Amino acid sequence: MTDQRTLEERNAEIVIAMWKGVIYEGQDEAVFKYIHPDYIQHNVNMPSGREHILHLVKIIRNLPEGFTPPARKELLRTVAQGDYVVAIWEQEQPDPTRPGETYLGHAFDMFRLEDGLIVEHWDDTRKWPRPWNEEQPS
Amino acid sequence: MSGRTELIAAAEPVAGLTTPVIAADHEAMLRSTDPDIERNKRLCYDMYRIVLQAGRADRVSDFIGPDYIQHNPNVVSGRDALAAFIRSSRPEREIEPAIRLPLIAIVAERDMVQFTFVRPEQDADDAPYHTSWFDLFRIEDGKIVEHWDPALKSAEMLKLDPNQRRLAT
Repeated sequence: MTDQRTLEERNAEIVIAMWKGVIYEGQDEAVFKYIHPDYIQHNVNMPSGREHILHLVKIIRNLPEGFTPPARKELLRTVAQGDYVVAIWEQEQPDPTRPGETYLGHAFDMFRLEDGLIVEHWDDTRKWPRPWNEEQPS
Repeated sequence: MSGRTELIAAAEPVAGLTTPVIAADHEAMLRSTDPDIERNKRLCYDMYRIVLQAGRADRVSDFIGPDYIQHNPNVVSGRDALAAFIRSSRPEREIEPAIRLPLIAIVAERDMVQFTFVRPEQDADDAPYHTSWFDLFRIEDGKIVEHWDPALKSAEMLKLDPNQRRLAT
């Protein structure tokens, strides 16, 4: 049966499946299935190259003592065109004007795909005090 | 399908970090085989270079619908609020034919247009690095009616002029 989905629909599904498998479930298999070995990473807290994500999923499976992962973000929508997929998320943020309360912020991830694999990633994160690859799983 | 364009190096990389990249050809990114998508992309691109970049608050209603919803936590919703924010945060400048901020991609689908930019930053020790900035627009009846970005709530943001964030070339 021929695949009736557009390139954009296929790419958006790959991004969502990757996020679920890698970030939510910490699966090695999802890393190999969806991410190119030489993928380029523009998030300053992560080096380029798939091998670093294999380290990341170990941490996700076994969070180190005292390590607080970033607040969970919920997918609002994707926007896809050609090789690009942008994921837009809702994420609760601490409210600096009302201590102890949060407001709804938005986070963004952009992926570039080639032949069904993620080859490049950008997001809006700032620099963390320690890079991901210096953390060790517990 | 819209024109694919090369990504080219935007600046010297900070030692040990990934080289930031920008789109080589804005016109190629604006073109689309779907005329509605092309029109939506050009609408947002022109709003960016005329209203945001050149500070022409008087042109807001050419691009923005009257019931404009703003999700940036530092700017209230509404077309008049946007015009006031523009007037208070930047001077009027010459209108240029292109966006001068480091634009990586324009991604458009259905009634949405998304811009991604390189964003130079400094860390806690004032060391430079690059991250990315995103602007998402929803279009209705030929005007921009809703906007999202990754801004965090902050008093300083109200005065921020993004034209200060052009990359040194």
